[in-house]
Amino acid sequence: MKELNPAQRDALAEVVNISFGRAVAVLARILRLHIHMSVPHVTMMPTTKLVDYIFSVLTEPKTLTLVQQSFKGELFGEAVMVLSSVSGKELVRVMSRTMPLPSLAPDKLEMEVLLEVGNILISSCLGELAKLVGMDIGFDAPEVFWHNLAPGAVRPPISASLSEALVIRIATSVEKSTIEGFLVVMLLEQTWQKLVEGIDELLAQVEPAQR
Amino acid sequence: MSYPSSACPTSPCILVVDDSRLARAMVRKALGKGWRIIEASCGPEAIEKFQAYKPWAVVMDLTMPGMNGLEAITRIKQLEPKAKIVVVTADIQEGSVRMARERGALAVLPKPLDPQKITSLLKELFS
Amino acid sequence: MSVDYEELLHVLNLGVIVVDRRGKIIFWNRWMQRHTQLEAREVIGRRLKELFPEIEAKGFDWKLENVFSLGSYAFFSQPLYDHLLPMPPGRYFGAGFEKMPQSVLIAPLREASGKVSAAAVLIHDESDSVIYRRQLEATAQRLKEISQTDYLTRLPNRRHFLERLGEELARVQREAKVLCVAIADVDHFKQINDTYGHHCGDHVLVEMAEVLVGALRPYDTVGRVGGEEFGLLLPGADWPSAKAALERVRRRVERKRFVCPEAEISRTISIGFATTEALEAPTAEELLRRADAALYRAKALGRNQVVGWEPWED
Repeated sequence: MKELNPAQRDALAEVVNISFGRAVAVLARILRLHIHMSVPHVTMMPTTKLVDYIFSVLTEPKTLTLVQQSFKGELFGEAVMVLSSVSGKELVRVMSRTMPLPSLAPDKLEMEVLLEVGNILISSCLGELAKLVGMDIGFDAPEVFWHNLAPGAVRPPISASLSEALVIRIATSVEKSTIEGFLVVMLLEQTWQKLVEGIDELLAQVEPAQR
Repeated sequence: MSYPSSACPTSPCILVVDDSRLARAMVRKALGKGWRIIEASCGPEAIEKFQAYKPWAVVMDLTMPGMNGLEAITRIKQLEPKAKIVVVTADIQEGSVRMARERGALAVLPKPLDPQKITSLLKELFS
Repeated sequence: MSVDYEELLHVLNLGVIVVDRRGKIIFWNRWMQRHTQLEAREVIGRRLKELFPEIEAKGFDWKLENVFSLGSYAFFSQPLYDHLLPMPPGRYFGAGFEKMPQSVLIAPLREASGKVSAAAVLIHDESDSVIYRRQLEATAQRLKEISQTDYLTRLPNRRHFLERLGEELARVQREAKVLCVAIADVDHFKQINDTYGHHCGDHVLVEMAEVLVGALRPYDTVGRVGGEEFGLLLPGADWPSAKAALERVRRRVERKRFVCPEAEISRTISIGFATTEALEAPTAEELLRRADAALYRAKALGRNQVVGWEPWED
């Protein structure tokens, strides 16, 4: 994994801060809720270490719900919104109060709410990120591809070409409910290089004299 | 409107507070020429430099580790009730904007900072 | 050479509707015409929900508004919604659909300034996916059955029986109940094969399975765990009630006349059992070991009896 220098790391953290903040603001607006957001904590790691990291950080009970969405363009890879299943249920409950809900059976409704939140969170966050680093991006349909994934269960396979992962830790509270999870952004090696170049470009624009 | 000319004599100065170096650089770029920029990377440093330099205005981020932006605003307002504080933040939800205003922020602008918005705002403040 | 891109939209095997922010139809392609029997000139200028009122309950307005205000994409997934607009099925042979299953994408269309001025509602016929998915599910189900079932008696096979034992044991631990594990072995079974042939032996096993299942309760488990061996799980049975129930089973088998084409025969069974009561931390291995030891004792004592494990040998 390519190591970032302090300036690049700081820049990446700020870019994620802006993008994630934008996504949260959007969600809050359309859900008509206030979402308390602390500074999004960003870590980078090889995708091979992802699952272990997530399970080690989450509190009990450790079952997960995953919403996956592919993105294509200069920024190319997969994003996964990872929520503890408890948080997923909490989220659905909270949103049911203010979000106009379609008429679906309860279990399908839960999936649909998760898909919708995942779609908006991921496309707003990554859309803003792409804009900041000057890259283009488009999205596929989101999928709830794992529901109630437990630590011991078969892990979802991750292709070796998606080598790097950006892990954004989500710890927010909405209407007194704690929502715990992660936004994982997995990138192809080439995309990762381009992202770093985009960050360097951004740094050069604002600090022409020093870097 | 009194500007203690001893601290910022020749050109008007602005205190920019944000824990991210990139963010401070982006504000600096948006403000353009004509301002003397003083930087602080956390709440306590911001208060210290506010007292030392007595800037014309403060551009403050909300989400900082340790002392957050809201608390820093409150402290600065305690020192100088007439302090002009503008918040620049990624979190522009209605509730957050309201809280910032209640503490005494004059305006809340979203990140990434739009140069036009900040310059016209400052022009308005100092006209 | 000039290409007619509008014609391209009509040639696509995809429903293409272009709407404004209020859902008013601006464009309606031939696919839509073909599958709804509504022509473009009939629908242009009218609102989509006026023509299809049910889309409102599905949240169409809300999703459309997000597309315009956020510039994001919106989706209606087939497994959740089945379809957005009700249309007759595109597939008739081998399908059995009442309406066409669809996946729908709503994409923002921006003008030069970057502002979203219209949205494209793209409708894809998912009949093939659904048919494929159903076949896959049926095959998976079939495979599961095959891997879990004894071909002759249709009872759970050894592997499945052991799985069930594990499940029942977990429940014992969770709910602090008891469980009885028994092994029943047909007495002098080999004689049947030797005297009357293997198909008579098979026949006896099949009938034996029926007797065992019939003699126990619906939530008990009977599995074929060996050539002439049956495993029994009696959840909730303590030592005395297990003994009584298994005695009843033994008597039924004793009275039964097994009818082969060649002859009518009688057979008895020997049963050994163990319960979780006597164990601090019961494991499958220990319960099976004890049941087996008890069975051995039943055989030694003359067969055709039920013996519960006691600490005679340890």
